[in-house]
This record gives sequence, structure tokens and C-alpha cells, in this order.
Amino acid sequence: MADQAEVEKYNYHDFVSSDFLPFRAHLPVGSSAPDCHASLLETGQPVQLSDYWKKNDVVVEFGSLT
Amino acid sequence: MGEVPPLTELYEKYRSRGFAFFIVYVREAHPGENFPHHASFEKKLEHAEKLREVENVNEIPILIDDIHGTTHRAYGLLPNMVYLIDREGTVVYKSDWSDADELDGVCTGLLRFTLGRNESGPNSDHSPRYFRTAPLDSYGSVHAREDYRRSGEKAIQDYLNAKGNLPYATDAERKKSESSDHSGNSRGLEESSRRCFVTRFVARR
Repeated sequence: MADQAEVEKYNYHDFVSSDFLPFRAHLPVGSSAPDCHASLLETGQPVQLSDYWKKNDVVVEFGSLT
Repeated sequence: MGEVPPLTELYEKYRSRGFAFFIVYVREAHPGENFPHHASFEKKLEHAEKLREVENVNEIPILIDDIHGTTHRAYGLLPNMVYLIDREGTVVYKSDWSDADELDGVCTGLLRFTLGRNESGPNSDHSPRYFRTAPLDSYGSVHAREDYRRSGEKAIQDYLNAKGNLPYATDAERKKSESSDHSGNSRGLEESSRRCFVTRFVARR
């Protein structure tokens, strides 16, 4: 179950920063933003950020409860 | 995560100026006794709902990433990153931590830049394809102390153990991390620092 192992590794039990990608080098300013495959919490509807940045400047903040 | 109320203020300020705002809910950064890691997507949904409730996120849409963290990975996996993407799909600002005052200035800068480009034509030197990036160091308290406490003492301890090794740790923090015994109180959280990357909206010479 390699897939399950990856899911467990990503959703770590204890905070570590070992999988953080190098912030300065990854997606540097001026590069193309990757599209987002997430869903709206409110409705479950899938969302592509690219649909928004065709019309809007887009601010994206990542976060969690803790 | 930090600073939802200031982000909401920015949303109110810029929504009528063509900006869209999203919060992408990802893995729990600091799992603890009260809010452990996500064992399933259902648990992730449950925590995201809780985030909306406790942080009072009523205006800004929350996007929930999949259980694999696909979107989170694509953007770099840091817990509280902020990106500003322009209408060409280009990253024009990124920060490894949420800072509403700074983001406010950057949004205003982008508006002015876009205005200048529109006035001087699409092929002018104001083309937003050209950017200069500048590292910006700033020091202050970690905004999310409440978040750590919400999660539990374990989350605070995990953070203190990792702090000096974080990609945005300063040299001083690294040294301190190497020499500190982490006595278990949470005061150290106030001494954290951050480093972010800001676009200066300048035309190429």
C-alpha cells in the first residue's frame, strides 16, 4: 500500500519540516502558478484556480486549524 | 493558521477591485491531542468545518485539498504560505507566512502596476512578465500561538523541536536550536522570525 504510506507520511502525526520544499527556489516569483484541484468546503464542488485567475487577481492562503 | 480577520479585511477591500481570495485547507500543521493528524478525508472535512467555525471564516471561500495534499505539494508544503497570482497565472508575490499588512501593500502595488500597463499599452515596458524578487526579513511574534495552544502542548513541543531546522529559520535560531534544551514552555514561540519574498513591480530596463 505505497499510496496509503504516502498519505500517512503527508498527514504526519508530529510536526516536522523535512518535506517542506525549498521556498525560495520552488515556484519563484515570475513562474506560472500550478492549477489547483481542490473543492469548495461549502458545496463540495471541484474548483480550478485557473478559472479564477483568468478574470481575477487571486490571493491564496494555505492553512489549517493548528 | 494566522490572521483570518485581517485577511477578511483585505478581502473586503479588494473584492470590488477584481481580486478573488481563497483559503486552502491542508494538513494539520501541528497535530496535537485535541486536533490530531487527518486519518481520513472525512476527518479532514470535519477539521475544515471547525476552522471555519473557530476562525469565523464567513466571507472567504475555503477550498479543501485532497487527502494526498496534491495542491499543497504543488505550492511547496509550508503550512501557512500566501501566494498572489495575477491574471496571466503568474506568481507575483509569495510569502512563507501570512502577513496582512504586507499583502495589502503588494495588492495595491499590483493594482497600480496593472493600471500603468493598461494606460501605456500591452507591449510597453510595464509588461508584468518581468519581475525582480527581493528577500525581506522581518521579525515579530508568531501569529498562531493561539493555534498551537488550541492543538495542545504536544504541538508546541513539536514546533520547538523543529524550529531551528525550519527553512526560514535565521542563523541565530539555528544556533539557539542547537544549544537549547527546550524546557517546555511556549515563550520561545514569540521569538520566531520569518522571511518572505516580495515582487517589486518594476519594468525591465
